[in-house]
Amino acid sequence: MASFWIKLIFVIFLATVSSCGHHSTKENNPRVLRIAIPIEPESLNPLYITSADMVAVFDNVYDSLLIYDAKGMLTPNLAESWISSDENRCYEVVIQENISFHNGEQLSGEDVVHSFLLHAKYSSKYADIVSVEQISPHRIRFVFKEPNSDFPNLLATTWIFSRIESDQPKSGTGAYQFGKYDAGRLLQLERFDGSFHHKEKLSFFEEVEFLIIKETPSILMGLRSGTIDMSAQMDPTVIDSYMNQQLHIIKGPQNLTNLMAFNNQRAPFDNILVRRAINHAIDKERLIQFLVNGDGVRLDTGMSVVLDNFYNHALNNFYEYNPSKARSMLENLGYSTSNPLTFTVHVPSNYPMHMRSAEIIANQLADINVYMHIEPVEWAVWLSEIYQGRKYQATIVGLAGKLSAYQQLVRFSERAQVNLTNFSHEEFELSLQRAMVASDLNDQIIALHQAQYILADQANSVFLMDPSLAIVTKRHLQGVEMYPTRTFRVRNYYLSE
Amino acid sequence: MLSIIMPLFRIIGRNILLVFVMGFLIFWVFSLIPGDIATITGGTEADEQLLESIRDKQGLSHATPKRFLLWGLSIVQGDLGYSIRYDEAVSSLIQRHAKVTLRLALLAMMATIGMALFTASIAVIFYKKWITSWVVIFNQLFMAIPQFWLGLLVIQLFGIHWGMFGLFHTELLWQDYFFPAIVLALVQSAYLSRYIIYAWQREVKQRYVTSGLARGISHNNLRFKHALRGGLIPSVTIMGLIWIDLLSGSVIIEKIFVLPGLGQLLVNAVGSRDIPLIQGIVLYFIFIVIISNFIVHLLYQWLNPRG
Repeated sequence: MASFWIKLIFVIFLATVSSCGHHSTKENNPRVLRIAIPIEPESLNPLYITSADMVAVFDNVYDSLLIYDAKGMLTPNLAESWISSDENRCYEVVIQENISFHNGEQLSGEDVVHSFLLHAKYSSKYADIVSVEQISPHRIRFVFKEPNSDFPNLLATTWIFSRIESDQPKSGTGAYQFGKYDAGRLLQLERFDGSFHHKEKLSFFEEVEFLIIKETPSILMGLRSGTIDMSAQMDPTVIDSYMNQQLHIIKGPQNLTNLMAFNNQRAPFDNILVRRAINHAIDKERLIQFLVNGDGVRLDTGMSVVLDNFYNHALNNFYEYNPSKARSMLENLGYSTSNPLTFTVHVPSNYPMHMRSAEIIANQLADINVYMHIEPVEWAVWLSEIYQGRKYQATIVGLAGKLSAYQQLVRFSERAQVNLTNFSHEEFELSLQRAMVASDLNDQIIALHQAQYILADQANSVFLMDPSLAIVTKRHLQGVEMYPTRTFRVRNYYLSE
Repeated sequence: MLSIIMPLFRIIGRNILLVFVMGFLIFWVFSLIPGDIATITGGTEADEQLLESIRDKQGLSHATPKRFLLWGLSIVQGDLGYSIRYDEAVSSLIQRHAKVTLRLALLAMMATIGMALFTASIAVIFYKKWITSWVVIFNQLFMAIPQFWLGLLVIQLFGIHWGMFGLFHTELLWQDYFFPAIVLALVQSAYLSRYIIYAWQREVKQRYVTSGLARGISHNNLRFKHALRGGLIPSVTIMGLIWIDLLSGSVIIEKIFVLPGLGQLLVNAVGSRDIPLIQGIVLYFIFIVIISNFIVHLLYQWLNPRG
């Protein structure tokens, strides 16, 4: 009897082995693009999508009135033109005609009005808009109580939905429409041939599969074996010479502000001198070298250098690395070898780069008898206790990039949804206000530069760097560009011969 | 008749109680540990308005006891609830992911038993010969090797270098489970083989085997037809444990081979504090353990009717 079972198991085993083949799924279709992404959608409802990665994915499904190009310049998208008046209190937008939604409806001004009113239910970014009204089938007017020079950024980041879908938007005007979602594994988009993006020419790829792969080694294997065509978020330090030869790599700053944030209302960092001393004690250049092999841009204020004109370059090396000065500043405050400064830095444990940053900083601070205790924290706990609750002394975080310098800096303001660093400075608030109401670009830049100076002067945090990001693709995948924020403009991609 | 039904009722009642106790414990534990579900779902860029909307939609604004009661009532009606994170019915999520884990587990179990019986047979047939030592050494080796390292090695050699299989399939076929199953089986069969070898060798030394030899029954007949049955009895418990271990999701293997199984789903659910999904998966595990224990019990009866 036992021999019967042994034989049966052996036969089944052999049968399974013999059915193996080189390719187990449908044959490789060159018109299907496979992109690896590290996170999952918050929801399939676009109103709930907030993460930069998912916005980049769903930008292929939904369109906004304006759009940013690879240089960070605003250009028309669904809109044909836009003008502002009354010192940026009033904006009028003219939308293009003959644009279809995925559900077959034609885009009109009513859809724009509906979309803005819907977005306003879920986000306070629209709170400053007094009214939005359709003044003709393809012209919409937005009115503000106070001047708002940042509104074009909102026009470029607000998706337009079909009004007939009410509170459950599904249809966009993008070159691709939603196909299917397999939780934890795959998000599939299908080409929408009726999109206005295809007026001149159809996109090359008929389907896009966003494969949800959280582990870098798995992505690397997929790229090497050819089962993945593209990964837009590679750490350049993991790219080896083999990949450099076999694949196409584009590198650049990712518009991320990596910082060690101080809780400005909690000891010891409620003391500006302590904050300044710590800034002097950290060698940012060495940190960038150790952490990312030099593939990063040093920051000295609360925004990335990607927005070149708006970044205050005069702040370069604002806190020069000077451990002696740092030590003497702390001694003047009563800290010494027998009474060292100690504090805890909470680090989200799912970000290896932040963990390594913390270790390097701890070593540097130990040289001046400052002891930084590193406490790894699960992401869910970090979000609720540290980010929302602000129960921390210091934490290491990367603030995702925005294409508006104002939006980047307002995160440190009291008017932010979450004022992570508990920063409170009247002149800083006034500078931001001046930037918001400035009708002239130069005035806006001056005000934003002033705001950045205050952040640096007050040593709000230790602003570390903007680490480079690598986009890795197959050699013959063309049309991929580096944008100032995470962007997958799949309609522009194609395979060369 | 009553003597059969009453124990059955007792077992069913015990397991229903287990379900509710586990469900309550999960609710209680997750109410203690930090982590706001709405913030995790919405992320750092989410406005308070959006977070409130998520809380309202998912019923998170209700007190924990009320949410537990609502969950209990829905379970009684056969509804496992809705996943907060994935915005999808828990039952359909589990069904889809459990299918992957079940296939992987079936294949891995067959390979485990096959390999274990094969290596144990060699050890018994060539008892006290050098080849048995090598079997023992390889068993020790595979027990010591970490699964994730073995998995990466298999992917590098068989997947990338020799191109025998690929990863990241949109639709999974049976052969896509082969290599992950082999990796699982190599480690599990080493454990199982040890138990079988020990028990089988002990059986072979029993008097009835010597008597059989004296009556002219062949060695192989005695080993495989008589002694093996006795040798398998203690190993059935281990097989049951291996089966439950495989079914509960081999998270590491699923992660490495990018298989969307239940282990991955559970890890994601815990990370995002998706309580309805966690409870649904726990229910599934309880059900699996009950079924598996029942099968083990039946196997015992078949192997040893006198027991």
